[in-house]
Amino acid sequence: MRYKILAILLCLTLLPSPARAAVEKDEKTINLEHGKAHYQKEEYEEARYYLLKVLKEDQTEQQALIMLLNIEERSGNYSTAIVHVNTLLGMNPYEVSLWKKKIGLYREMNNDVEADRLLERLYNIYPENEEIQKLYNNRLEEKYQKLAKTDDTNSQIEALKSLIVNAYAYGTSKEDLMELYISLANKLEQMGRMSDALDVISIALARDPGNMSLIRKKVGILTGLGRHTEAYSFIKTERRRNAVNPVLKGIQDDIEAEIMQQAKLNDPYIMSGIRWEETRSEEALDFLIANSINRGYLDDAQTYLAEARKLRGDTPELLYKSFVVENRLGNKARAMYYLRKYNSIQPDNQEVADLIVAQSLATASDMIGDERYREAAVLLDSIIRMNPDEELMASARAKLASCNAILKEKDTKAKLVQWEADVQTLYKQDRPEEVVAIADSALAISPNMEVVILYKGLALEKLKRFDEAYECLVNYNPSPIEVLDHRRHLNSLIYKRYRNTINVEYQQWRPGFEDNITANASVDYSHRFKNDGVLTTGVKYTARDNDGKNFKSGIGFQLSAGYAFKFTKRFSGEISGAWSNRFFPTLTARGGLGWEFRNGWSMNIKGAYRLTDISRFLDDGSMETSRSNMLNGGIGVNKDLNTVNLGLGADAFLIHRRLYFNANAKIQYFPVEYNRSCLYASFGGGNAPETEFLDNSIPSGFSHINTSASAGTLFTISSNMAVNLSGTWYSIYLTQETNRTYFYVNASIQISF
Amino acid sequence: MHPFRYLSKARSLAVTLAFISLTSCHVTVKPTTVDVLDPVRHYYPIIRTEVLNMTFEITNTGEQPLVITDVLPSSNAIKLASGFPDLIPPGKTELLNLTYNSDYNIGYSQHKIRLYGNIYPDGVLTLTFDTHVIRPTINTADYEEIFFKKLSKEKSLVDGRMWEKGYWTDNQRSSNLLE
Repeated sequence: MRYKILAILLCLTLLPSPARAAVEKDEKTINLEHGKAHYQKEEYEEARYYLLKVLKEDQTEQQALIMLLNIEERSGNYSTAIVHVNTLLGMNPYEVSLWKKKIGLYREMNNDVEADRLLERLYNIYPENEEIQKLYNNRLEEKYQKLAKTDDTNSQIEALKSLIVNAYAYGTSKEDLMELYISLANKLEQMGRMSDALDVISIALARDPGNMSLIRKKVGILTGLGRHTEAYSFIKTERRRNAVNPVLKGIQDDIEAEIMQQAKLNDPYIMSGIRWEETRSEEALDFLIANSINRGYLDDAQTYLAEARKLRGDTPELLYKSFVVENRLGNKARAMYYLRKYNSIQPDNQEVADLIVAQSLATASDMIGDERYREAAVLLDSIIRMNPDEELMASARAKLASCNAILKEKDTKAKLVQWEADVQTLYKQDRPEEVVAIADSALAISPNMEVVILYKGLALEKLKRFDEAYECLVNYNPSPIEVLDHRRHLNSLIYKRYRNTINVEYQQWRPGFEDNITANASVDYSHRFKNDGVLTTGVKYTARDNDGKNFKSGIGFQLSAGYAFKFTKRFSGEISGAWSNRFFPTLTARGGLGWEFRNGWSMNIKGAYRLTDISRFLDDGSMETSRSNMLNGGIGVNKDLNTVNLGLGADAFLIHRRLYFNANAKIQYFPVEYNRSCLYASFGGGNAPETEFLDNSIPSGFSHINTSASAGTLFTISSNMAVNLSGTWYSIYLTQETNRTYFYVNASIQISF
Repeated sequence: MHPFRYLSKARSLAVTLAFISLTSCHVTVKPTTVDVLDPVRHYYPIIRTEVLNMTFEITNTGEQPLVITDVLPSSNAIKLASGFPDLIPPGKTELLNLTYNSDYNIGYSQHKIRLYGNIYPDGVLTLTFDTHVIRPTINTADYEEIFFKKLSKEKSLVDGRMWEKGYWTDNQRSSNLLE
């Protein structure tokens, strides 16, 4: 290399001028090759030296210029590189690659203004070049994105405008374009340029009709400007285009609501309310009171009047208005309160006095309507005392009369209801007289009170006033399920009403050890007097064969009479006597007393004297008959359990100064209510027989164990006829080896009339 | 090895050989130190299409004669005025006159002028300047425009105060004049 250059230099020195020109040409070529070689090796200092030397010789050497351009760019000497680009552009005007290079170099120098200007210029020169379009558009977007991070809204608006203008040429999608329009409108709104924002959205809508985002935006701007009517017209137009879109319907609804809200805000009443709240202006308060009453905003009126009364006190005007409001709200008491207060301030005001009366009358009418008759009567009475004018007085009197009549009727009804309850309670407390008394009072006012009729009848029955009970209960209308019971009950009462009864009885008995039947027959007649005293007379008959041992043949009869007293409702007594010619006790005298307690308990005591031939067994089984005076006393207790009747009895006998005892228990069962038909059974025992056996002159044992068991039934055929049938097994234990047994059968018919 | 060193030596050798062939004397040229007044300059902005005239004072401060083989501006925008010598004796100063054509640039522009020779230590001297090329105002010219237009016509470019020279150097100007 060194020698090569030396040679050249020598030649330069020694050669003549034309020859030197040739050499210079060669030197340029040599320098270019050197420069290129160094350039390729990225030895930029050396390359620059040779290439600049080339340029010194020939400023238009493109290869050198291009290499120098790249070297300077890579070396960071951008402005020098730009000179090379421009030099090249002088030779290649509007060469796109050089323009792009220059733009890039300016960007490297952070001179975006010049780079953008060049890019725009290039875009103007080559508007159809897609690459430049893209470059330009990207740059616009980049600029906008950069600006969007700043507060420079004006620049953002301009950038968006540029983007929108370019978008048409660049072919930006419709969605993106509409986004740009909306962004531009938003920025214009931010700047308060509402009208411009509206124009932008209108332009966008013209390009994309029906775009929901744009529609919402336009509606938003219009409503924001208070142009609700315009917004409403716009959305209605849009709905004509797209009637089924629910979003549009929703927007329309929102606008309507906002229009209403707007209208409210424009309402002087609302404004006055706000003013009152904020400034406590009395002028606003007066307006609010007047308007709330006129418009019927009565709750508001209450509030504002209360505020006014706090401020100004109870002035007649405020009191009257308060009265009007409370009256309209139906708060009669409050209304009257204000009216009376008004009256106390201006007692001579006749109009207010008349208003009080009229108001009181209205209140009384309301009370009558609410069935508050007693209060209404008091109020009407006070109105009459106020001595109002004729018309009001007449009205008050009429209402008072009506009230009193109703009150009387109500009192009577209440009394009857109370009596109805009372008869039931008293009956359960076993106070039948009181039941009858109360029932009579109740039925005198209201004869059809079924419950009262029923309990009166039951009470009368309890008092054994069967006629009255029957007459009463026959008027009772039972419920369908009670009909059968009621009929039975009436039948039982019919029976109890009968005053005459004939009882025809047949008895027979035979010992267990021989077939020897002995029989009795009897007829009794009884009559119940009106005082409930019962007279009974009867005759008993028997005929017996001579058995060769104990009995002689013959006919025997017994005549008897008795009377039962009813001292009080619960206390009764009886006496009876009998005479017989033979077989039966010659003389019999009986007496007894009975008490009926509450709860179905009853007790009786009795005593008797008999002069009789007592046939009694001895230890060896033989029979001994002796005439004896027999004294007998007994006590009995009975419990009535409705369907079951339990009885216990004990008797003592005194014969030949010796005392004997017998006790028995009896149970009766009444299967049908209000029917005297029953089944019964009894068991007795003692060292003496039951009196019944003695009265029927059945041989018996004394000082021996006597036991008896019996069972029977009373069957009611009709209300006036019943049949009784029973059997008794009577046993006398004499010794371990000797026992005497009798079987006793009894049948009777009762006929009442 | 850096190319211009070879070139510098070659050039020296060539001059020497020529000198020998003519005078039959033998002289060896060694590297010399060079001083330049304000080798890095920041010129005030100039309006595009205007020309920026620059003068650099090159002083050979060494013992050896300064043989300048090449003066190479970095681009075609810079033109070298004629009359700049190839040889500066020791202790002598020569003026290097240049013109910058602002047509090529806009905005900030920085360029370099490289001088090659027996310059200590690398054989190359780099002069750097920059300026802002601005577009002319359309309606009203700013004061500076008028001032510098006048100045370029009236003043010498090698002496005077800073604004009269038309440029500043890094040592002369603070970032904020008001400080």
